Amino acid sequence: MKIHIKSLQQGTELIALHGDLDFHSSQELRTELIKLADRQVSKILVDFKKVDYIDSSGLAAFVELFQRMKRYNGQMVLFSLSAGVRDVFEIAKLDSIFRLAQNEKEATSLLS
Amino acid sequence: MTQKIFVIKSESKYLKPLRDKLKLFLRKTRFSSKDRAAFLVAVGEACTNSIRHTYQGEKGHKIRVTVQVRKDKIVFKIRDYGRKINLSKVKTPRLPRKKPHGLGIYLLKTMMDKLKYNTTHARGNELILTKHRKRGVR
Repeated sequence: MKIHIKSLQQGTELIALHGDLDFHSSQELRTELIKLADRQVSKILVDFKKVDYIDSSGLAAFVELFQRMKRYNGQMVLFSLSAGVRDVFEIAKLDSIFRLAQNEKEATSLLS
Repeated sequence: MTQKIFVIKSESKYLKPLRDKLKLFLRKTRFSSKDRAAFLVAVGEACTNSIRHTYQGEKGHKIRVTVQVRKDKIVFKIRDYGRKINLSKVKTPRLPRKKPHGLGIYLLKTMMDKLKYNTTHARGNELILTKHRKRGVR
């Protein structure tokens, strides 16, 4: 799993993920996500374009980030999820909690 | 019936190579791509449970995944040889889950038609996952 974090405009970070998000890789991702939440980054965009697989460990990393960001009213939008990855979010009913967008443009527009 | 056996060691770095091999094998089964993607997640969750809970992170132990493809269904048997765990007693979480743990068992139960625990082994655990082929889909 490769994790690229890029600062966009003030207070917004773009996380681009590359690879499978499983029990092996999710710990590294979790560490990076916690660092962003500790910095109280107000807006986070997550690009899933290059993620083919996610399991419960990967989902858990985002549930944890979501909980941490909620404490300071931060916002997170995930975008460009493949059908398979989106299915996993939907089965776990996390599509009702997380904001999922088709692409980066739509994701950016969802951030207020 | 076609049967294939995959064996990995109890270390998370072997999960992806297992999925890659499984993915190639599953292509021949004529299940839909959506079903095949779900099988990868379900088997991954089961193996992760063995690594985390049965072997408690201890490396080098064996996990055996047997795949049986039949005319009407596919069966995955995930066998480990560590401490016994009765996963049938693990509660299914209420969703949407707002805590970062407990999603694995829910994914397993939702993605497959049947989960069975073979408790007859003197040592270790065997989880049997079954998915029936939809009528009209070969």
